[in-house]
Amino acid sequence: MRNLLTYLGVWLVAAVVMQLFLLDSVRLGVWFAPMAYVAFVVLLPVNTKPVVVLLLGFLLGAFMDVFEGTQGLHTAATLVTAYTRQWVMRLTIGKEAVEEETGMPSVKLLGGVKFLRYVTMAVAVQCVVFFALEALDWGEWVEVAAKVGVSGAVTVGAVWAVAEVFTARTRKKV
Amino acid sequence: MYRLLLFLKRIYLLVIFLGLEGVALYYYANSTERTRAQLLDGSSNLVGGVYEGIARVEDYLSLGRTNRLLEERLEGLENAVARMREREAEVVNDTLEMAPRAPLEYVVARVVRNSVGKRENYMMVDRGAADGVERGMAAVSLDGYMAGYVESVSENNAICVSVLNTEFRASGMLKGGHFGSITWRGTDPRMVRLNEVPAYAEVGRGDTVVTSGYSFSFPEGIRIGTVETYEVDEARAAYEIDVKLGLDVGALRVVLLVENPAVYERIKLEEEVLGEVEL
Repeated sequence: MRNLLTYLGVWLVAAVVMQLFLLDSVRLGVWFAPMAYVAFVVLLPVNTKPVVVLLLGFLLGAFMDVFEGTQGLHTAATLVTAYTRQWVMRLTIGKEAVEEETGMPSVKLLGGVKFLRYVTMAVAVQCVVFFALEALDWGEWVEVAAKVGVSGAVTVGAVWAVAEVFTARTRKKV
Repeated sequence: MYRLLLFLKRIYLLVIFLGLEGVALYYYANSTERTRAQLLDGSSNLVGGVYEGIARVEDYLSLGRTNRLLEERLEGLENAVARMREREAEVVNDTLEMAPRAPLEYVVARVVRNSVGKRENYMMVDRGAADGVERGMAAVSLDGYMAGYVESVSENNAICVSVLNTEFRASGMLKGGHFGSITWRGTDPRMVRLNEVPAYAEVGRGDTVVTSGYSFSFPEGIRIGTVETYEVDEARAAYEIDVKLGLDVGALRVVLLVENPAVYERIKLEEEVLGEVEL
């Protein structure tokens, strides 16, 4: 129950407040299109069943599509991120950690280096799929790469911030 | 047996993934500029109030700039009115000269949501059908630059296709009267492309580009920007001209929605005959 409330909070902070109201109001140019909402999928508890991650990813993507008017684009990218999450975790934080840990991925749980590695790779998957699908043109790979680089870096920062907010809160409660 | 179960488990996840991904890609592939604007229009009604709040803060921060633009605009209009009065006095008895043209009407609207970081950027404005906004209206900045056109209208809001949208189409004209089509290529928010200007036209760097009046939404003579670079596409015997936009779309706060009754009649007529019309 507490977990449910926490993740409702993550959804609200990452997808609604950060993405829709904060980042979408910042207009710095064509390369600046961060996807903070993906924090919800990235930060689900390490031991969440892959099928649950996938379905939640679908819901999150559909939610973003409705509010961004993109019709399927966010859903397509978020589904790939959700589907590959298991492998990304194994690659970046190790098989043992994936099998043993149960909490929200964070600096506290995994250590700074592993956490950053995990978030960076997951965000990279999201950004590459999203911007490639958006462009649908191999001739524009330079622009796509620039977008992945700039927007991806901001997204990693946003995911890290969301994780800090929610793990700081649990620290106080303990 | 365990391996078989593991295999089935993996397959079942893959099947769900492919199914959902298929649905998403299907919707994405079958979406059009119009359906996307309508989706955004519908969902914006739910959270529009928050965007209006954010826009109010941004408005406050850019009051100085908006004021200056309004002053300039006012000055321009005062001059125009003065010229018209003068002209009216001259031709008051000439019925031919006084023949009424389809009048242009304006609705002033605040931009409450805007983006420049996507390939398909839309603007949400705080005026809708209740204020007389209709599909096809041109959105023009206070200093008279082309900004977009209205694609979807709800009671109190409207969604405009921004000039920074790869689906945006307008007709642009050089000072000599040669015209071509204006598109945005999705990479540089300060630059649009003017194509199909015949190769025999005279083009020079810094030349002014304005709307031609041949597209659905824009009346003739609305400023777009200036010629930055140009080259001739030999195969098509036409110029490819990069036009530097005079408008900073990201800083847009207020737009004039220009009503052009002649255009509506055209859209309505085509809608009756063809069903749906692409602007």
